[in-house]
Amino acid sequence: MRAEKRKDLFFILYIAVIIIMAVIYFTVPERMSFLENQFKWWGQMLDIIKGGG
Amino acid sequence: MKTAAYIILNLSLFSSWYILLFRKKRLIGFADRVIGAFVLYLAQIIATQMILGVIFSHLFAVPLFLLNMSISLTVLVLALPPRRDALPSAAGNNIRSFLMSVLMEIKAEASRAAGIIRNDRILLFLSGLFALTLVRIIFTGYLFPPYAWDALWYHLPIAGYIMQDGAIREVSGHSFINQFINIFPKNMELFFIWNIIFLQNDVIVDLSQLPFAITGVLAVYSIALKTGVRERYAVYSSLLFFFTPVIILQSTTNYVDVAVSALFIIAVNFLVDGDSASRSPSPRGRGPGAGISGQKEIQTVLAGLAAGILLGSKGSGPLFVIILSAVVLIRQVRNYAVSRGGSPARGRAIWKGLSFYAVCFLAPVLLMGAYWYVKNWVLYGNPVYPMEITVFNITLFKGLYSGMVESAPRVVEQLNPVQRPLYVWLENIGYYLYDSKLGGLGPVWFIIFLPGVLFSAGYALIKKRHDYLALCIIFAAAFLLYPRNWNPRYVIFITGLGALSFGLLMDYFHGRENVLRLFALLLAGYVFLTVNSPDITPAKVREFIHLPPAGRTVARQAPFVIDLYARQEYGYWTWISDNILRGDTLAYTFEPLFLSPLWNRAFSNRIVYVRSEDYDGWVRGLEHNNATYVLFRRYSQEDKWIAMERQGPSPAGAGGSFRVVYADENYKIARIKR
Repeated sequence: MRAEKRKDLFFILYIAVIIIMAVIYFTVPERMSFLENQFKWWGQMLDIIKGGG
Repeated sequence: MKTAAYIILNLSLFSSWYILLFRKKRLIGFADRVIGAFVLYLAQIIATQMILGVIFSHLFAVPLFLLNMSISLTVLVLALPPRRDALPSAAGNNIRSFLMSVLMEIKAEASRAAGIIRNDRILLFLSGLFALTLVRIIFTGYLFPPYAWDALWYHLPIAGYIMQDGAIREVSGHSFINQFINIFPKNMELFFIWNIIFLQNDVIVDLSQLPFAITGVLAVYSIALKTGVRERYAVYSSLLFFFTPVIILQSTTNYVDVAVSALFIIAVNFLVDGDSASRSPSPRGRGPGAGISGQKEIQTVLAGLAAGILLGSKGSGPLFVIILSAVVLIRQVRNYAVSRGGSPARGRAIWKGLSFYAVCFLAPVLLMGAYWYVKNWVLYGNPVYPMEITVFNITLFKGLYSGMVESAPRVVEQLNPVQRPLYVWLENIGYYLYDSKLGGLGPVWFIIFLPGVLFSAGYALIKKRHDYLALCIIFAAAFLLYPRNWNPRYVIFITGLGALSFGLLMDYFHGRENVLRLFALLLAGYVFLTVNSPDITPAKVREFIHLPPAGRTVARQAPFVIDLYARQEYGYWTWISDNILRGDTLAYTFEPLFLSPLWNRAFSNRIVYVRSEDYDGWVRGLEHNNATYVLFRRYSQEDKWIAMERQGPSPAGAGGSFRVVYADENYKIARIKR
């Protein structure tokens, strides 16, 4: 029982760290321009797939 | 016909080694047999090219095909029929039933893997993303020519020089890049040649690293199983390892970083003791009797071959070999020393361990990778020329450079060694590139793998999981000792440790891991959607789909990374690609930005550097090399000589006449008429 509780705590801690890491990763200064570039790329690709281009 | 021969040859090589290993199925599990067959397939390709190129100077398609087919047939004959004692389940010596048992096992393994994936919806999505990414890589690699900087600069020129000479030998060292070409270990370039020489074009050569990426995935899976991770989580780990942006992007380039990291993980996989697999509820692919005599020898030889191929693939190879050697030695000496008492007996045991290391590991390493270093030592007095080797202020080998030739980005230089990788892992970049210095390991590494390594290490310390701790030490040693470990493409292998750690954690959190699986899928999906390089734009994809294969040139692609530097070269690159044929010799008179575009897409012409202080010497040089075309700069001395020659007969009287067949603002090409 105690081992399971410890495992639960360990799990919650790991999830918390993952969330913190995700926040750090996705809030770096360049991330917005990175995402803008990717949206632009996929926008162009969708245009081509639709036959516009 | 060429394509059929290429496919048959590759299938023959791989399947013959696989069938040979199948006879050892009691000693080596299914995944390891597939990985082992790939290592042996590669070793054969490299060894046969070394024999033909170094010893016989006759490295051409026909002898290479015949030699490899002969070896494969011999291996097949050795593998068939199976001995009764090795394969009691096969019906005696019946070849047909033996081959059926090989196929049945593959079918059973495939349907079992499909079952695992089908029963887990998130894993099904992840596998779908993996398959889609593979399709995308193959499509991109097929559609676009080799376009990456180092590929055009030296990886493909190495292949070009070897193919034009039919020999592996030194080339004229008139430029920095030619000197570099001479000293660079060339195992991977021999694999590039393999993917050009039979097909007589470069259409799929840029996919050469993809088999390494896939085998790396399989190796992560195999290590995870050996460390006792449940099979489903091992599949998660291995697939997530693949969603490393630099692996996906480099899989369509003629670089060697994915191959180097994959070979390291493969070698580690063969050195991991599978004993702990018995802890797993499903120790898959391994027959009864794991750990019995002969297993360690086979696995260590395969590790040695992988490490040897790695050694001969990049100048950093010795570092990996030293680490892997330490692993083998420590394992051997420890095993023997523990199992025997008394100092004389212990001395004998240690000697036995050293002998095992020398025969089963070091010999295959030296066989597959030492040639390039020995050759450099003999020719240049330094195995890693032009790097100077100094230990405690004593110069062991003189060279031209004592530090890094390539400078680091300023933002990285300002940071201390601990901050550097952390900064790069945050990926402050506008897009991914195949050789990006400031990103490439991706969010899966930073968000779930990196904490996973720390948590798993803590868990392993508490639970005394020495197998996992040993893996941590091996990967960490390679990472910490690598001189530029902040550069993602040099340390791709570290994501392998991350994947293994994540697998171990999922196993530990069994029953609670749904949220982790969902996280992993979301991040893999994010990587799939964002791993678009500006080198491959949608407009270019559309344009290239409508072009005939011959028209899909690097000049027309104008890849982002090289475009600014190379756009003034595009004209003559295209002309060469369209007009220089088999048997032609293109002389060049200056140091071009890239050598690779001086060959046509079949690498069937020759190139030669011809310069001289005077016209007569130059013409004699052209004649001596049987040059049929000459490339020169506009307004250069050669341009003036040719203009002069066209006004009157050649003063040398031997050079014939020149006819300018291509001219742009910067360059001209003249045909030499004889």
